[in-house]
Amino acid sequence: MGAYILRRLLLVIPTLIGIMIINFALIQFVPGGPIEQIIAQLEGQGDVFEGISGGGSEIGGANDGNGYVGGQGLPPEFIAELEREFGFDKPPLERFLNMMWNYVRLDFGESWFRKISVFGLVMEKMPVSITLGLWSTLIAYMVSIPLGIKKAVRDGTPFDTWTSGAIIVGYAIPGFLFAILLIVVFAGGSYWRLFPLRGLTSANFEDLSLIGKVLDYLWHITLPVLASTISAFATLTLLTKNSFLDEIKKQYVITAKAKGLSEKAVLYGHVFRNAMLIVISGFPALFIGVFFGGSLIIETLFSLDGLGRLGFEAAVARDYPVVFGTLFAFSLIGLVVGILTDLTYVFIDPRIDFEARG
Amino acid sequence: MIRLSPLNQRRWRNFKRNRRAVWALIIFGVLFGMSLFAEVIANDKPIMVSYRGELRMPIVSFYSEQDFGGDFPTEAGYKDIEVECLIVTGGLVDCFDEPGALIAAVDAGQTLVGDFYKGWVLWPVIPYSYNTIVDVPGVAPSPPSSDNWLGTDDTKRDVVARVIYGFRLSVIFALIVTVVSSVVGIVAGAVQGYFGGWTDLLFQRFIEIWTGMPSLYVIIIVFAILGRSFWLLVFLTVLFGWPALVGVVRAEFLRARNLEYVRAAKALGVRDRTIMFRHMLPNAMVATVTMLPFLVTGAIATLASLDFLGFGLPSSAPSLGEMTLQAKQNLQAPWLGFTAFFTFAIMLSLLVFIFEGVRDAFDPRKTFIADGKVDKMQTTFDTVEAENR
Repeated sequence: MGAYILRRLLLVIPTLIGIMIINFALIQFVPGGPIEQIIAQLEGQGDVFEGISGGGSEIGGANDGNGYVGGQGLPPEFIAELEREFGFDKPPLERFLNMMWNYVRLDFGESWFRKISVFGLVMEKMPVSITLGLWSTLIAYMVSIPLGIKKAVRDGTPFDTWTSGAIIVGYAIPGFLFAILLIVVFAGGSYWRLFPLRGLTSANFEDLSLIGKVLDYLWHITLPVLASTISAFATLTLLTKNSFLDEIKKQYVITAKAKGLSEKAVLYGHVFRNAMLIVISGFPALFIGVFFGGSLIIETLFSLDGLGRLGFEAAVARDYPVVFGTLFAFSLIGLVVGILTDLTYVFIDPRIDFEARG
Repeated sequence: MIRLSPLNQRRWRNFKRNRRAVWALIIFGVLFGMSLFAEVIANDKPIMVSYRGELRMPIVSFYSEQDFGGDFPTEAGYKDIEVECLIVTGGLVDCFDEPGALIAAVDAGQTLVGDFYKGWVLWPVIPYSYNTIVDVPGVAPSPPSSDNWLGTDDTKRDVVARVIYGFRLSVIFALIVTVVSSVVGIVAGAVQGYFGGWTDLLFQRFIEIWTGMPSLYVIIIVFAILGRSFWLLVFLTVLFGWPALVGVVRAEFLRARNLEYVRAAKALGVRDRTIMFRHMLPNAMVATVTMLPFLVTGAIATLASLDFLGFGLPSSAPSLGEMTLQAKQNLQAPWLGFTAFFTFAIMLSLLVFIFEGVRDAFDPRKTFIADGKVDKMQTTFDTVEAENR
């Protein structure tokens, strides 16, 4: 087992380096970097960002392939100084190695456009991500597990068929469409104006009492959490249902029933702990999802400032330290969670052996 | 008529047994069939015009205003009351002075003096195309009315017309993307699983790296360089969509590569390619078909999200995602939001139900069950979960 874990961990290194190289190379060849962004601002063309969020116009200016020579109207010394400031006076390879060396030491640097460290920036966005992740996961589990059990017990009945149909449709329709519907109906003002349109808390949040704060928070998060939860039911419900179905057919269930235990006692005392193993094995991924969950569109729709928006805005504004820092950190987390999930399977069910396969 | 093999006949029977899938297929077939003729259903040019006894089809050919006795060599503005008058009267010069009165007279069945020849105009059911600017009074997103059944959007284009064209575009996009990325994914997964070992190890890392790429960012960049187009978007979606199938196909091939029939084929000296695609692939097809509902709906969702973010199709295209964005920007116009939601909801539900039926029909565990009630979702999520592991 130790050798297996070690091998998996060692494989993370080339993968991570591969991801970084590909993305770094990609950005080298692309016109329109942070310097063009600044030049555009200084020359009064508005920022490059605007053209993008306006939807449609071209990104960035011209680039002749060796360094940034986009700003003909500005003194060359000024551009040289900008390049030095952003580190573009060094060759790409040196920049890449520097960056990787910093990342290995978990030093993610500072955003180019806001004087805040990348780590601090991510921390700043965490409240939104935790809100969306935590609540939608909680609701998904609280609904899906009982529903899955009920569906397993009543397998094949119309109830089973229709709930399957409903959750599968919920899964197929992208969450942001539900969000639009919820906004139009409950926040748009055409029908009801029950919920706020934007933000995580009201403007006067600081002045509220503790209970007021809690209510205000819950009031703000209802719609976004609802919209991001609907698609989460399907996988978990059907997983629960199938693993219950598998277990219910087993001998020990018959034994338990034969000795006169009630239906409830059999289901929750005996079947539950066996059937839930497969659900539990998803916990490492779940845990990460709770903290780093984020959907760009849901966040945009509800004017929340979370990780989804951060990544998108950094990419559009060419804030490379943020782009690469988050890419490195989240890829690393993702790869490690993949390994942890596999290990949880083995821990829960020792019959699974990843070493023997293939 | 194509003759089906006994196995396919059995699959077809199984599909027909799933009433939900059959109804979804019928409804979807009608809707999609209609949308294929969108130009005839919703267009800002008449389907057919009778001008001085001559039948003309403006939806397929170009006619200048001069062809109808008017002044301009540009395309006739069929919506103009003068042009309408010219057509129904056969090109009377008086049309430029009092078109309304002349049309009323023709409608009343009068025969006019001069060079009169009665004509008629046959309009599509919805006399607007997806990019027609509707001429209605009021502020831009105008509410539903008898002319614009679902109102207009914020540039005064008819919503019904946009839905019809957008539906067609989304479905065609989804089908092309699904077919191409399935083929690529199956071949990649088959190669990986069949050869195993180092091939598998390296390929797995490659896929990890590939899926680690921020696809939205790449799409933005490529569009900035090459400009937007439908086919480029298809290409990019496939580029990032094909790994979805690799996992399941790879798992099936990894499992099957040591089975007796594969070993026997190898011992007989059958070529690798033949073993993979003639002997092993049919067994891996179930896992593949299982993923289909979600590949199709996933492709539509991708298109919708990109359009919503403003990085999708060219802005002139009839895009349902763009309508969703307009719904958010114009909360005072709830008809936009409802239309966008229900169009997607109906389209995606029908597709999911159809492909579920297809999947059940292909599932050997169910192909040979006569009347057993089997949970339809079970196989899908077995596979989805196996994939996630």
